[in-house]
Amino acid sequence: MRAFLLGWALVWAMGGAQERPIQWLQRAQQAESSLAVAGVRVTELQVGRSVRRLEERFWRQGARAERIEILAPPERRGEVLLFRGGRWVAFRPDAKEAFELPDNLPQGAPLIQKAIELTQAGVLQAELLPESTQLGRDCAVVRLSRPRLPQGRSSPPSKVPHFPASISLWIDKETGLILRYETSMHRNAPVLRMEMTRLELNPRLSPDLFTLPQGVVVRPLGGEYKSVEEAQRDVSFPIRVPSYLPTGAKLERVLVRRRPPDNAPIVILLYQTPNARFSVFQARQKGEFDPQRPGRRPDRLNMRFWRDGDYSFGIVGNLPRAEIEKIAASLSRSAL
Amino acid sequence: MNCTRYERWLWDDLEGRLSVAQAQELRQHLQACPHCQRRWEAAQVTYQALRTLPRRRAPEHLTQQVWARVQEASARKPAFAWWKRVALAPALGVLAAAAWWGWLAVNSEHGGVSGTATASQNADNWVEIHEQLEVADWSPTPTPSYFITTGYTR
Repeated sequence: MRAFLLGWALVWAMGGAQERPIQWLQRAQQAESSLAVAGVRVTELQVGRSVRRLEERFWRQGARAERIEILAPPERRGEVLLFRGGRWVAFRPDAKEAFELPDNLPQGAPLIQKAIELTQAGVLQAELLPESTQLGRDCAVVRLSRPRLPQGRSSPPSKVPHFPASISLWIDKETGLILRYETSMHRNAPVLRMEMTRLELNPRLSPDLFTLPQGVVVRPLGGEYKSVEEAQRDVSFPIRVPSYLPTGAKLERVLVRRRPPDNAPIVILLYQTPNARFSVFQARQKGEFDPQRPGRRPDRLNMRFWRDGDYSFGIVGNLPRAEIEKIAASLSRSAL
Repeated sequence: MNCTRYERWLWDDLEGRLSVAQAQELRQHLQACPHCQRRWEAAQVTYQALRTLPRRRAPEHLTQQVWARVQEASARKPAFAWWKRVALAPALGVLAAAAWWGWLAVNSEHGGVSGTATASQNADNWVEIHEQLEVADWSPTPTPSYFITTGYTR
């Protein structure tokens, strides 16, 4: 009887431990980093009125190598993303051309690692939701969220790092793989949803899958630059950089988008502070232009748009309004 | 069976604009409805045929150049024959329609992620781009981030 009770207590303790959300996250992190897997997944990106649906076939060798083939949208079908040796490359087989992608592209394993660290530090809350099935497999559902803000406070306190309002993960109970993923930047509004629609465990993965064909030259990807100076070579007007930045702000991405119909450049500087993220936009705007207030103003974002001579500017981010005003002032011609 | 709704979805499906739930619903309907299945196949053939056509972008400032020539011509020959005046209105109408159609084509080609053609929409589009950049960073797959950089379509 004593042995039975001891055994039961052991099983209960192990079962209880398995059910803790942090341990499911650790299992997921381990599975994403180590398992060989292939399948098809669909990602929906919903921002404002637009919904983008991406479908991709993938082959992954843990965190070491990955191949992604685009299935939808149809216009991009056949494009391939390759990851090997810590480097992402986009490859268009029809054109036999490849482009080097930024190093910091998001991936499952590092993303979960970050979530684990923030949960262990007590910055995020992790809770277990009722179990669910995905692809006919039993899943533990873990939701990560920021602590609720005190009423009447519109911006997050400075100690909370930048993180979406919530991330929910459907973790396969048998393998630890993430079969479904939803994240929302603000409460009750999923904006990115990934769902595995086909899964193959331990497939045979030939090294050729993760290798560029011979003779393909890798070039830098247009539109994304490592520095403002590099972007300046492709932009006909002088790019302005704010002389004032909030404490700890770091330039994270430099993008140049082309605006139809005349391909006029829009420069986007994306900055990250320890607890916020903001974008500085600038474009040459000929003729009459009255910077308009946007029709849609997400509560969590502050923003400012203005015109200076032939140029229009905008700052959007989850910074306090006063900080945005200071950055805007530092972008004016007199401040430069 | 109400096919009207699904017929409206056929082209959206081919262009990847349906949600996961809508795409699944359409697939189920197509399996059960030969009429819609035929229509879907026909739409797919048309779509593929259109995609194989060479794509040409109109030269920059085409509209301005055409207008400049029209103005030059009218300045040189102030006394238009009456039939030319009559012909000018529909011709300008066609030109305006072509410009509008071209603007639409270019915009839809670039999708909602790549800026805007009218200044008044800047603010909305810039807010949208910022949100896309934000959320793509929390994706478990790098594809959304790649698409935001390169545009949703080519």
